[in-house]
Amino acid sequence: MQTRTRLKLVSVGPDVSVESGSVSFHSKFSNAVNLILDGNNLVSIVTNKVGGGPNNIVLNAQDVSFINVVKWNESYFMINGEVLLRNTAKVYNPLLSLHDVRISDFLTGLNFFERLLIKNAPPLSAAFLLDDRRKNFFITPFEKNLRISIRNSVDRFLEGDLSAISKLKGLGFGLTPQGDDLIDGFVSALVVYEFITKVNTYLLRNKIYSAAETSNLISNTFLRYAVKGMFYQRVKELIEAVALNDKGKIINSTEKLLNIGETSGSDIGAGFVLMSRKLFEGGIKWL
Amino acid sequence: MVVKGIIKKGEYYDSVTLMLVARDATKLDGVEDAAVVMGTGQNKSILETSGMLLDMFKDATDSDLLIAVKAKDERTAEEAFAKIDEMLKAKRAKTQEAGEYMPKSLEGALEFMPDANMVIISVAGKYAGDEAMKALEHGLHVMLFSDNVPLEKEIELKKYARDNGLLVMGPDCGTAIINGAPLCFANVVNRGKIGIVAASGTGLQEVSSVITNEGAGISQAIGTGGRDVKKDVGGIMFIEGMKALEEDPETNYIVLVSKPPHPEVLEKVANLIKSEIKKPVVGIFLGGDPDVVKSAGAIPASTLEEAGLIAASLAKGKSLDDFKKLLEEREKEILEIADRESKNKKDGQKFVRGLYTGGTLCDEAMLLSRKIIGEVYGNAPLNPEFKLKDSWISQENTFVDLGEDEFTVGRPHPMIDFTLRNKKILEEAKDPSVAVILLDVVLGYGSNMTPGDELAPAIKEAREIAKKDGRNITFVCSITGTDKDPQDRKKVKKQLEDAGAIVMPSNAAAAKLASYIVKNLGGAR
Repeated sequence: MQTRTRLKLVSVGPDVSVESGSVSFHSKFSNAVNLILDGNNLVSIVTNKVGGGPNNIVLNAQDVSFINVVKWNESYFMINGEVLLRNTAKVYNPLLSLHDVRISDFLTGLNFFERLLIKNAPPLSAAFLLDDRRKNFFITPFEKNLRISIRNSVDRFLEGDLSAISKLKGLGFGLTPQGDDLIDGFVSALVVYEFITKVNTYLLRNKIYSAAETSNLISNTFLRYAVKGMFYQRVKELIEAVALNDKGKIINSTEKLLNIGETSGSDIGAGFVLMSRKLFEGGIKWL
Repeated sequence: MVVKGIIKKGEYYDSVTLMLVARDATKLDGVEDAAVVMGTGQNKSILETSGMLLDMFKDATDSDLLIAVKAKDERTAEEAFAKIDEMLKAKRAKTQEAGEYMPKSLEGALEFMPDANMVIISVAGKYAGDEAMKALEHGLHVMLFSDNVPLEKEIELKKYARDNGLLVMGPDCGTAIINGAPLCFANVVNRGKIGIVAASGTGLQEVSSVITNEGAGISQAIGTGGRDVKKDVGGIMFIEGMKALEEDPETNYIVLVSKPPHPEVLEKVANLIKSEIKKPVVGIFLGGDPDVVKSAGAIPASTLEEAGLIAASLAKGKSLDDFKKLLEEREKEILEIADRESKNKKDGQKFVRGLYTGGTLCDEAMLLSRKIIGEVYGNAPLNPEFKLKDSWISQENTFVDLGEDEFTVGRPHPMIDFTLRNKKILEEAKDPSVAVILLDVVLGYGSNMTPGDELAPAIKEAREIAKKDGRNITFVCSITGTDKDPQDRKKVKKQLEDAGAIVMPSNAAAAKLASYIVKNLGGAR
């Protein structure tokens, strides 16, 4: 028996183009279908579980992997022949909403998030950078070499060697390798640092992006938005909860960050924690 | 050793899938290493460091999936590729199938199975309460596997359930058996006339397994979650569970299993036994005063095994003296084995290290050992003064519950994943003061499916470590489970015995044996 309720649009990201143009499929998962527009722009159709993003079209579905045909214009989206009016969806706001954040609150929230991450991150995530005990999860020779490479590159970067970014990009498993997600977390921390201290980090974020740019469309897209201070919902909610040291919201947003079924969330989180700590506790020499 | 590779274009998988596929491939006989990664420059450099960068990979792009295998010969490598391919295909198929057939909400599940009258909920604690209430409002009994449900929510759910004639098992209810169906962490037991209400997961498993191994059977086993018998919840579901078993035509005997309930709850239980329960009741409140149970008209037991044996004797129409004789003979046997094992130890070997995966089993072992060798150290000791300064470092006689949070950071529960305990076994074996290593093995659905395969090599290796130092360590194990469990109790027992361990028929017997050996060697306090 196969039943599916009627699709509804939940939100559309501000970077989703007015017209779909030429659409091809990049990859499909149960929670996300990644589309390439006109050969070089990424738009993702995602479930509520993934949530909003600058380039996300969010549907009220539990699974979107059934999607085979997509096109849209300024008035509607057509998905597998079903028409969804564009004006029924919210426009997702990817910018952080942070005001009068106290550094002490942020650091306390950060510590709490770090503990949750260490306890709940998937085994081969980059969370071993936060707690050495987690290195025991890396068992095979390849995994051990991967762990050592990640550790060396991250240490070098945090000591001020920007060239280490090029060693980190593309390192690891999956669609967005651990190294790319860590870089995403570093850049996210720079945005938050700027929000709180008013110290301009834009130049450094751009330098990191230039060093990290690869032919991986998904990683590049994620990082480009982070550089611009535009966040996906699960990262945005986490950052806002940490900034306010709201433990209930930190638990909630950490669950969302980790519940997508791969290591990306925890890797972004690990990068965010490491870089934030470096910035707030020791300053940064590249600024 | 050969290195072989394959490139797949346009195939994308999430990182966890790729990690697991590579990890599983390295478990194949003759495979030394395997990697399944996207073809980024940095991944190629790790492949190079690992001796797996083939010429064919050098021109691969970030979008290519690289599969590399280092194996003893070409044939093994080909087998590994076939296995990897099969696992990747299965992942795709599973994703597609799940999208089509798996309901994603309670409403969806009810549409799919409108006659269901019970739901198991296992979602994050903060959402679980609301899901449970939704289920109760649909008239469904609830088994709440999730933990971290707020106390107020638990009370609200249980009051609502009680007022509407429904059961809420949990939160943090890991095991139950309803109408013969084992749920979550439960053993495959005989069907029979004995009903159990338990506020302890592994306690329920031990009692129901003993009953089955004695040839009797279980009608229902209702878990309540450990917090139910505390003062705040007031035993709402423990009481409702007892009432349900009293009314259940399939149940003739009732067994109550718990750590000591709050005195007010115990009083309610005792009053209910006196006033409403007509069926014979056996009670095991670990560490509690058996006289309270006795004065209410129930039969008290001092161990989980004894509770199971009493209930089995009742159900089989045997005299209660029979099980007493059995335990007396057991006691003699334990003392004999203890004497024998005490004789083959080197000077200085005098302490026990209990490495437990079941919390209640660890508690029971500490209670029994305390009577024989005095207070023992632990991460959750009976006497707070004996709490280990560092849970990772044992001292004197130590019993550690490896299921506590401090050991489960980022890893599966030790009933599922033996890695940590195996590591601890080897560490303890290096300590010249260790005479006995005491282990529990919990079988059943949800637990490690190959406990013998994984534990026996660690026991052998530990014995070798000791042997090189002229020492002999006695390994004492208990197996909570039945011959019908998917792991097969008999098979696991043989594997452990072949590795040199002594397998006792219950957790209580194992704890006693370990303690008597220590006592003989002068390790008691």
